[in-house]
Amino acid sequence: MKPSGRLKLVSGVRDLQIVDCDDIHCGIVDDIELEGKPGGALRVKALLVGPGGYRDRLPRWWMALVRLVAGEEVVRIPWSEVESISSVVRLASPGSKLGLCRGEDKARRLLPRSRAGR
Amino acid sequence: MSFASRLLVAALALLAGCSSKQDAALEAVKGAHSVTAEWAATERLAERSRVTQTYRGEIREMAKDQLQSQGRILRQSNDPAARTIDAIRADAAPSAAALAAAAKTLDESEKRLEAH
Amino acid sequence: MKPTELFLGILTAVGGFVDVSELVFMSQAGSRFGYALIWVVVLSTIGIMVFGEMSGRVAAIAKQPVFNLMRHRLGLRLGLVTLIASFISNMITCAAEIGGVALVLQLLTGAPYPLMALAATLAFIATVWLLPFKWIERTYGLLGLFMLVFGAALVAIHPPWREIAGGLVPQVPKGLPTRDLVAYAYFAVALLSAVMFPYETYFYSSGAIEDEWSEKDLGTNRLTTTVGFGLGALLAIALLASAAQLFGPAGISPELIGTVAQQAAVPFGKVGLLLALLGMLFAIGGAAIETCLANAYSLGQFFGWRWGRHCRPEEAPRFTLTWNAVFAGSLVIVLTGVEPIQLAEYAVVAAILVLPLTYLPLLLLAGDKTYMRAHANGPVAKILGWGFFALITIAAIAALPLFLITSGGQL
Repeated sequence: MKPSGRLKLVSGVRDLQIVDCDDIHCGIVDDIELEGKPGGALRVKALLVGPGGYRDRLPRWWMALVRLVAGEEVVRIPWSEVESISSVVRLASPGSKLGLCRGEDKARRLLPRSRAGR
Repeated sequence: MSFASRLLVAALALLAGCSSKQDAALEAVKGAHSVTAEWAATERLAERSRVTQTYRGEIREMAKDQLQSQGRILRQSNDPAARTIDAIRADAAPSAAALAAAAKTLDESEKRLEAH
Repeated sequence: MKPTELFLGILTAVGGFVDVSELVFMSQAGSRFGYALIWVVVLSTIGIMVFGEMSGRVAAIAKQPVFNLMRHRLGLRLGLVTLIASFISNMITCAAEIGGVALVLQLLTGAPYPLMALAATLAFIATVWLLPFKWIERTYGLLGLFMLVFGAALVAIHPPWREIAGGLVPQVPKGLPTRDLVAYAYFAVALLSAVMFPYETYFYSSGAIEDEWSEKDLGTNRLTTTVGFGLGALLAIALLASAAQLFGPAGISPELIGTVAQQAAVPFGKVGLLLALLGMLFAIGGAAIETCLANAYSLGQFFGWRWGRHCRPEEAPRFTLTWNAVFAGSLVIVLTGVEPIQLAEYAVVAAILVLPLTYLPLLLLAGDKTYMRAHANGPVAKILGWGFFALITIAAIAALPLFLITSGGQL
């Protein structure tokens, strides 16, 4: 793959919506973890999801604010879990199995139980 | 912070600082003029039974509240318009004609301040 | 789509077009500059038609709401700046709308303002909690049609139609002193912002996704944005023209939101007044819900949460908590005692600053054939889109200095 192709992969996948195998929205690709050595092949290792994924993308003082407001939790989604990439990144497994639903679970506990809604 | 951002902040601070005491008085007189005219219009409509009593009473209270804060600013700048405002506020239920006359006086004060 | 559904959709767009900022700025602009700013209302309406249509089309074809594509196109840093700025702008707007509703309720019932603000907020929370998305939109949009009384009132007072038509021509009034010319420029920017509020696009595009729009809904999208927004703009022009006719000569530049209702009381008496107040109540109330949900949509889309009123609250808990928190935060702002008119003034200035950042990613995606295929922007949409983008960028640069120099249009 040409260097331009690799760069396009990173810029094309970063900040895309993640949807799991049950069609549930479960985060945004906040960053990408790459592996490889100089002279060797460079591979995508994982997608990083969560405010901790902003670390290499924001100035230090912004990151301090993010840490204060949202913490710095980060979930690693192995690249092998990615089923397809279009306008969204589709996963092969349920988000809950990959640790992507913790935020929603915490928020759910704060809601009154109700039958109202649809 | 880049030079351009600093320049922008400085320019905005300068603009904000430009607001003089006279500007504050003009702003207060303009506001008081409009509020008094709005109140006068309400009373005129009420005299012809074209608005509800609740509406009339609430507009009166809202106008008095607004005039209180505008009068405070004008007293601080020793503007004679403050006396006009105090006179309206002292009247429990001023007539449409009295309010229209007060609005005219405030209009003159506004023109005087604008001419400065 | 069935013709009745389409008709209801258009009526909803008409009833939901005017909000508290438009009520304030249309009336003040009319009373101060007569009909000379009507052309700005027309120009801004074409702008919101262009971007509204684009956001609905992107939602139907690329299935992308505004904030998802904003982050992907602008990147994390600029995306975050836009998110924070639009969140603040929407929150101030929501507070202004709640304050406006509380004032109208006070004028209708005579009950204290803080109590009415609390009651209105609880009613909005109950509405969003209990009603499905379509009915939230429709209830307030259709009841907002009481506002049509302002159109009838304009006809009834026999305005000078020729002079009103003259206002359609772009102009700078002759013979104005510098102070008034600067105020004219401020009102032009404020009207542009009030008509093109970014929350309208966030809400409209998220609503299209809530309603599961697809290619077959593109016709509805075009009609709603052109006919619905166009008729809504006529209502806004009626407010401006009535103010020019009734308020300007009387020295009134409405400082009290309730005064606007007198436009209908003059020709129609108590019935006109009540219809006007009811119209204002529902139109402003609908806008309060839209601004609040727009904030929850923005956060949900930016961070990739599950979002939308098509989900049960427990299926989208962060989204649900967010809209409840936005209502609560807005109520707190109202209860601090800031005047709703003042909040509306801050809201339009904050909104115009966010507009270019909102519309740039939309323009880029709507023109991208990879996502939009045959429905990507054509030459007309491109020219209009980029033209309006240039206009709102200039307005955004000018907004803050004009606000400070004119003290929010008061000088």
